[in-house]
Amino acid sequence: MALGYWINLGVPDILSVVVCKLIFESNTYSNRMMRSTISTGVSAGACIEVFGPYFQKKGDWNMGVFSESVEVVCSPAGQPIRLRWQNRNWHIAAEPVRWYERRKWWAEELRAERGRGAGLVDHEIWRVQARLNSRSELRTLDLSHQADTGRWRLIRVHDALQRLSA
Amino acid sequence: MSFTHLHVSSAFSAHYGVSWPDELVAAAAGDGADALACTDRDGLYGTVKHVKACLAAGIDPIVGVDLAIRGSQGQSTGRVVVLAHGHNNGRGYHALCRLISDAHEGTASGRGAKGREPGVDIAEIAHRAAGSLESSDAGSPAVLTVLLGPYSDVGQALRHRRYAEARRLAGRWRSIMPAGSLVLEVVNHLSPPGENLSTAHAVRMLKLAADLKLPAVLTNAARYRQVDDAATADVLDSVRALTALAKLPDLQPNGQGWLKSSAQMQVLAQETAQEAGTGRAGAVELLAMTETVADRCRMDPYQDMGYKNPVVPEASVIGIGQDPVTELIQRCETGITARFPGISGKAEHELRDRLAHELGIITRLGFASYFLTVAEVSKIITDMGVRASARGSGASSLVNYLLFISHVNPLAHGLIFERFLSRDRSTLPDIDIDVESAERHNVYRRIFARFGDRRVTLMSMQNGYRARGAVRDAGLALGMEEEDISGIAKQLWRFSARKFREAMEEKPELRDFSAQVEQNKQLDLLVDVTERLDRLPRHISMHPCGVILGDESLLDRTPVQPSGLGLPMSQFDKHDMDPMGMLKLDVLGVRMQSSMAYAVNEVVRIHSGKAAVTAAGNHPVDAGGNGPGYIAEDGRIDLEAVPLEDEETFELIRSTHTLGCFQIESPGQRELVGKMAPRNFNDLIIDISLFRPGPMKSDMVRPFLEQRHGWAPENYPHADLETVLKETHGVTVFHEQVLRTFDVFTGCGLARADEFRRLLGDEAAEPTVEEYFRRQAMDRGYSVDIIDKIWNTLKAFGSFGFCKAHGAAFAVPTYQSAWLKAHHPEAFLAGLWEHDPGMYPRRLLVAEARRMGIPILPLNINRSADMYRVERIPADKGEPEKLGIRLSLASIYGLSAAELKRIVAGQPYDSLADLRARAKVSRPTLQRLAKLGAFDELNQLAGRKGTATRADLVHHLDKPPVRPVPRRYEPIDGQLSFSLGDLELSNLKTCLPEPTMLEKVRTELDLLAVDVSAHLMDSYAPLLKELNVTAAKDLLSLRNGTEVLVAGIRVATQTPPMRGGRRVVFISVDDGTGCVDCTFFHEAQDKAGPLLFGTRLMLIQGLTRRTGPRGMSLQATNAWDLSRPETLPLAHPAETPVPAREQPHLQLPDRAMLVGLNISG
Repeated sequence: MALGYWINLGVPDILSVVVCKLIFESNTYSNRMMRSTISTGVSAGACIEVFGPYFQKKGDWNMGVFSESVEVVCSPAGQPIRLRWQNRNWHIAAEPVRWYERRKWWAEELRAERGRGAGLVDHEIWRVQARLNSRSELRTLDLSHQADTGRWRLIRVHDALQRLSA
Repeated sequence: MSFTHLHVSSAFSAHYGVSWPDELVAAAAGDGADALACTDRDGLYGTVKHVKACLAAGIDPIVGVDLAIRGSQGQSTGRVVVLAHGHNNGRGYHALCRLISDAHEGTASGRGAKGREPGVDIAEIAHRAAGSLESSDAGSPAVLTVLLGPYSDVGQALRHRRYAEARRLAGRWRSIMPAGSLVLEVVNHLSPPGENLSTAHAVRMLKLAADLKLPAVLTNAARYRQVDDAATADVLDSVRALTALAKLPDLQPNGQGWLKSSAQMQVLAQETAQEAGTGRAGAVELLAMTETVADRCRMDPYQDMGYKNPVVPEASVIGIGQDPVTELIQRCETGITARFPGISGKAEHELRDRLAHELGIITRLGFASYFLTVAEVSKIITDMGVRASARGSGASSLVNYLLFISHVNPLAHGLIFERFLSRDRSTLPDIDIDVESAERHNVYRRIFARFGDRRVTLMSMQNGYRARGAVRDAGLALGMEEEDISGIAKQLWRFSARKFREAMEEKPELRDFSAQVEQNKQLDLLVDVTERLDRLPRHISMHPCGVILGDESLLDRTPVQPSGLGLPMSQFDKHDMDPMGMLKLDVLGVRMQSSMAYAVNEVVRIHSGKAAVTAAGNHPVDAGGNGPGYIAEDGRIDLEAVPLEDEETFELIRSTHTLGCFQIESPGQRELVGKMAPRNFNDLIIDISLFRPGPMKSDMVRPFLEQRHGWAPENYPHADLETVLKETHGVTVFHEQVLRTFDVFTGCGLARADEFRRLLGDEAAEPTVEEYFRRQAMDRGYSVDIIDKIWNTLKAFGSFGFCKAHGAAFAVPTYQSAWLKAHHPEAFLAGLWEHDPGMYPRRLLVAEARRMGIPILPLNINRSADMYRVERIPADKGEPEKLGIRLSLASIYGLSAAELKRIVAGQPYDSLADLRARAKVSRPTLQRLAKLGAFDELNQLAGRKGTATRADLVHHLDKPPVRPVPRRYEPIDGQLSFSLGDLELSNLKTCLPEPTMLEKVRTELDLLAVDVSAHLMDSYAPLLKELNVTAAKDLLSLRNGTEVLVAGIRVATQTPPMRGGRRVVFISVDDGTGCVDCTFFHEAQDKAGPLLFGTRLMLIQGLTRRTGPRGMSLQATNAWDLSRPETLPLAHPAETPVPAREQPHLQLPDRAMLVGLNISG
């Protein structure tokens, strides 16, 4: 945590983003840690540009990963085409990819009764590439779709990885 | 367009599939499919149920299996699906069966047994896929299709992107398999990229198929019917690997493996084809190829599988040289001479009429060979000298009686043939044969030897999850601690897993557990997971009784796998027999038969010839002084020839001292027998038939008893039914009476009547039966009142009532056991102790001997054998010669079979040294023998004045043993020794006192599980006196409704079904003077709480209730645990002497064998 703070003050963009992302992504990071980082009110650095919204807005820890509620509009075929995230509209550009990812339901759930239905053993994940407008960059985002409530959550942002592999 | 699933595992894929075949079929049919495959793992376990469901739903069954493939070194290289082609006169199905049998050859027959996992190599599949040898010309098509899917070696290579290897492997498959039999299977579970069954994985398979120009089909590798079941599949995977879910490395990637609908499969096809770059056309082609492959695999159950076509062994094999019908008629004639010597006149007319009637039906149905086969089996068994007797509705048949298959005369008891077999039933009837339990495996081997191993197999049975096992496995999956799970499993084992939550709310004994669940979150999850496992097949095992007999084609129609006996076992269970036309014989091992055979042998051994046996058993002697015909010259009693009217036997039965007798020893039965007071064999049949859930639930018993004893006038609903209902005083008890009632009122004939009887109680069909009944009866002129009354009786009967033939078949050994107990009690009890049939623990039967005044002879190293034996006790001091029963060495805890054999082989011993040297027993064994007094006689003989006590000997043996004599000083074989007696014993110092009775009994309980020298309750005498407890034998003299306290060891707990549905618990306790049967109704159950099923030593308070001239039972109001004196309702607790150290209470050691916790009902 302290490291992140230090990095934000002077280390170049990519590195700070990567480090922040690594710290951010690591599941050993506790809730309180993150919240205290938020409360330090760090306001400079590339870190904020990408992760700022997370720090400022209250979100959710789900699956050990910080996630946030978003609104998604789908095509008649069920494919996401538009995304509303923090009051901004993102267009989903290329073909989204969809899969079902397993959950460790025996550790996370309180009940597993018969008739529970979909969403217990796996959940639906969409990996989309979205952009704010035709000039802005493509961001790769992972969305989770809850079958029972129909709600969508943003669970991961992949930019850094993309840049890294480029 | 509908989609046909080609890869589906039902619940019968143990620890893999989740949904029952009929659920899967219903889902597929409901979705509009017109065919469905069932491809269980390693066998056709669910196939017949699948076919049955498909026929009912009107869709085509596809039959296949999911098999493991073995590589060149015998290692597993993946799994493939093999489907049988249909509409080829069964060639596909036969090849499939043979292939599966191939896969199981040499495999382990159960958990823990040696052997490899089932599997085949590619060559074996290719061989079977090519069809049978006769038709394998170059042009004949393959009869099997193999699907190479994601779990095959090709699929696994593709998963890890080893493209070259995948091509090579697929190429290898193609080169070995016959043309047109290889198909690639595309499965897309939409797993995360990089994982098994991801879209990318599916796409690679699809592209490979295109590259190699092999057909590709789409399946969903379905393991469950609906998405909700995915969690259950996870749990099953965990249990199969015996690893907690958290640690399981190869869980399914997600929960998408359900039987998806056509629409969903089409979407999948689209997505996959899209990714593969073949677009819409690709999807269409994939789906079309799936249907093409499905089409060639559609089965015609009748032509391909022999569905509903009964097959019996060939005539030559049964030993018939001529037409089976002629043979049958001849044998029946012989039977008449044997069973009815000198019959003539009217009786003969009746007999021949009945015989003609039965033979007519048998001939018309073509079952003559069946009866001859069963007769042959029966003969095989009796030729071995083993007791055998048919049970069940087979007793209704005169033909069976004449062929010596059953031993009940159906004419004498009004048994109806149509109840067993009628012209309208085309299925093979069921004949069950009871044999001596100890000889059962020998009987199987002899049957196999006789018919040849191509025509006989054993039958399997599916064992489903019950509560206890479900809790354990659920706990394992969730990673809970072993002790926690054990505790919970113990509490919950009596309930079905599905109904846990209900039970937790209702049952008083689960109150504590219920509270626990509320507090512990993981327990909530545990209960959920347990409910999911309920009734799923847990493992397959050998059916304990079933034997399947067929002709040479048997192994073409059923796959087999090893059983625990070294004989092959069919993968079909008892529900599959009828549909597949298989002749199944149930050869049941009944311990009572073994006991009776043992008793008869003991009688021969102990008495010298017929005269001695006649005298000892108090049998009738004729004018010439000869004993009866059923005793042979050597003293062997032919139990089947014993007359069924022996008064002494019925007196014994009426006395309710029927502990040890077949069927009538339970508390409920003793009460009924006491009330009913059977006078003859027919009464016995009625008694057995009344004691069933049906009559008990529908209040038939009370009016019957009232009318029998003349307390209420006999009440025939209609004069026409008088002959039908006379034997049961106007009450309808038997199926046969229902049949006759139908026939009298409607003239429908007994065959149709039996059909109607079967439909009673079926909600859908009953109205049609009612309509027919009313109409016909009306036509015959019966009044509406009468019709109403009769119909109500028939309706209430429903599925109740009992088949008299069953009762008759059971009554035979019941009578025989009572007869033996009345006439040769020592031999009979020795048989009971040896084979331990019945519901009570051995110690209670020993107590019964004590009650009857039969001396129980203690263990003696020279006189005891490895069995319980009758022994003559010479006349002594005014006491006449008696027979006693000598305890067996075999029941000593910790004595190994080898040691036992050596001891018995070396008897008699003249000294301890002799025993040590020749029998080479271990020191612990020597000590145990000493503690139990086996050396007492030896000690006495050795002694001088003031001999050492048993305790001294034990102490002496406690000391470390002397160093063994070096080899060169050991005596050579055959060298005699000086008869100096036992120097060791005669030189023992006397210092310790003889053990007290209490100590002796404790040792006996510990090491023999039987309290021999005295009853274990004797140690509680002071406490019982303090509590003012009434002894069992004194209850009879009390007035009805007296409040008493009784105490004793629990010997039986039963919860039979009762009227009104509320559970009643019957607990019987033994206090040394007799058995007290206590009834716990709801309030008493509440008060007793956890003690109801948990305690062994009980103190029970209640009101006496007279149940008959000789019977008194207790209606319990409260219960306590006798082994916890602090909880007892003592008058002056402060003054109760704390049991002195030297006089503690005897506790039962913690071994289940001591207490009969047989919960039935």
